[in-house]
Amino acid sequence: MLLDLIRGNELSSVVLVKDSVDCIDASNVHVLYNFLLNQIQRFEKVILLCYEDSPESYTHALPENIEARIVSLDGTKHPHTWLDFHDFDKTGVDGNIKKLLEDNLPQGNGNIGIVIDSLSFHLLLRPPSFTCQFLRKLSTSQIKGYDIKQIVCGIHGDIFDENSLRLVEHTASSVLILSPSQITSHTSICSSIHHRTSGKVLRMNEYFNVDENNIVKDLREVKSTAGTTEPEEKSIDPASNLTFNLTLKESEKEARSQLVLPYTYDKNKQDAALNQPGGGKIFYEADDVDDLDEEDPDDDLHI
Amino acid sequence: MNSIKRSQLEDILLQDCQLRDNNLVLISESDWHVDGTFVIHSLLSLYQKENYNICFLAISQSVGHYLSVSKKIATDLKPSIDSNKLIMVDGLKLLGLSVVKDCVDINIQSIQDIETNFEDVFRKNSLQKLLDLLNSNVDKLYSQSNGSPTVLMIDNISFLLTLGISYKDIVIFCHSLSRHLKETSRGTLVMLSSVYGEDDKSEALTNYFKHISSTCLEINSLSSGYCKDVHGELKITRKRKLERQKKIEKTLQFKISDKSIKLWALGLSSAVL
Repeated sequence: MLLDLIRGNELSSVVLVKDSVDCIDASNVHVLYNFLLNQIQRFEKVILLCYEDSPESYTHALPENIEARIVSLDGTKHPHTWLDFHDFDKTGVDGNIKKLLEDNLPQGNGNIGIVIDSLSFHLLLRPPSFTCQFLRKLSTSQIKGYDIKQIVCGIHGDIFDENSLRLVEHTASSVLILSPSQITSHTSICSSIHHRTSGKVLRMNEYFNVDENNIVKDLREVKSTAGTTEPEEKSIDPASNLTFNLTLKESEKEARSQLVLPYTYDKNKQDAALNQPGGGKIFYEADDVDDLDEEDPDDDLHI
Repeated sequence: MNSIKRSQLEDILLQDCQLRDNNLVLISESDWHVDGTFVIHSLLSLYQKENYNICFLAISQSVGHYLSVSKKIATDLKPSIDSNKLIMVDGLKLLGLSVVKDCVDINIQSIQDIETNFEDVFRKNSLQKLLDLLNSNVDKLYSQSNGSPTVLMIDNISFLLTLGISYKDIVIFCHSLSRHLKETSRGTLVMLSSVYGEDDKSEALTNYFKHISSTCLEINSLSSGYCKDVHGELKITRKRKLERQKKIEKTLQFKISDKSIKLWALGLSSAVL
């Protein structure tokens, strides 16, 4: 699943990669790098937008002929303008991303992909719903004639509260959660949740390694060890180990099975009850106090 | 004057942390029971021995404290201050003055006149002026150096949280500092941060720094409790990055005595062997 997403075999418009402090061998940086490499082969241009570290940290590791197809945008340049800010529009960590992209892209057509190294500053400086909106809008927009086909973002799972993280994860069509693995053959685990456009949701846990060229490989699915269900508990017979006798003899068991309960459905009985010929007759003897009048009280009504 | 003899901890810091190749070194105290300041003192004396330009922001202790501790571990900081290779910003004293300035009873003219960059920190919860001060100190150091690298040390960054500054401002502050250092002098930012018990914000702050740091030195207390022979564990982590193929993850135990720090591999304390 991880490799399918990276290579584009599984289409996903917004991919979120989440790591934690424990991810020492393979963190967001490595997975995003793999996405970057593959996106360059699939799309006309790739935009690399970096906030935590300068784009050179990614482009340094890329082969030379590829660098020309990447538009690097350095979001780390003016962090001091984010301090004490009250005017959102000046900062560059906001919806003006679209304007930033428009300023840096030449006119053209084709598909482009965007890789954002970290949404940390977006989530820090803006309410989480703003980040969700911005991602959603960006994933379906057109810039200078290019179609944005895929956005890949990195996020750290242990510095924001659950609520914000969940909101952003919900906006993404795929979420890749990285964690260190406990086994020796592989260094890391990727838990992926992918929502296909058909509506099907795929979940998978895979082991992976990152080699010296920072390529993700050696994927292997994590097999859960708890496969067998517990055998059903033997039912305990409550009538054993008693000082008095609660068991039945064979004859008694047979008599019990032949007993017909009073309200059991039996066709004959039901027919007899329904088709009773005679109605009931009421015999009433008047007391001294009764004032019985044989006439029909409604007789004088002319309806 | 600067002896080339290094202590055991200084050797470890130099080699395992690869001191010259760092943009951000984080020293984190993981709970109440440990004190990570010994690493700061060792790093300070190591940087001095390696002839770095140092700007030191002291918030949790006064400047006098650092001077006297480093005299004890056999390096004297005064000559470095005199030759402008070391700038000590006495955060504790200046913060205190900002608080006192407002008091009705105190009307000493000398205090009223002191313009501190810490006033905004206290009154407006703003770090802008402090950021400008530190950046200008770094520029000053760099301009008068002759190729020696610069380092900015902060003790203790989590203290700013307790002053009421928002977590987001501290993150941006550190981000700006490390960016400025990287651009001007390829320098290093060294910070000591603590996790205060159950406080989410201090934990989130420390986690953020762990994510962006090149080297993390984590001081943990022993999980089994207090021991007079082993004071805690020091865990050195250098994450694998794109340009760095090998990660380093090393755990050592230590014991702090009056004048020195002894370190050894896990379980091999001299008390046990």
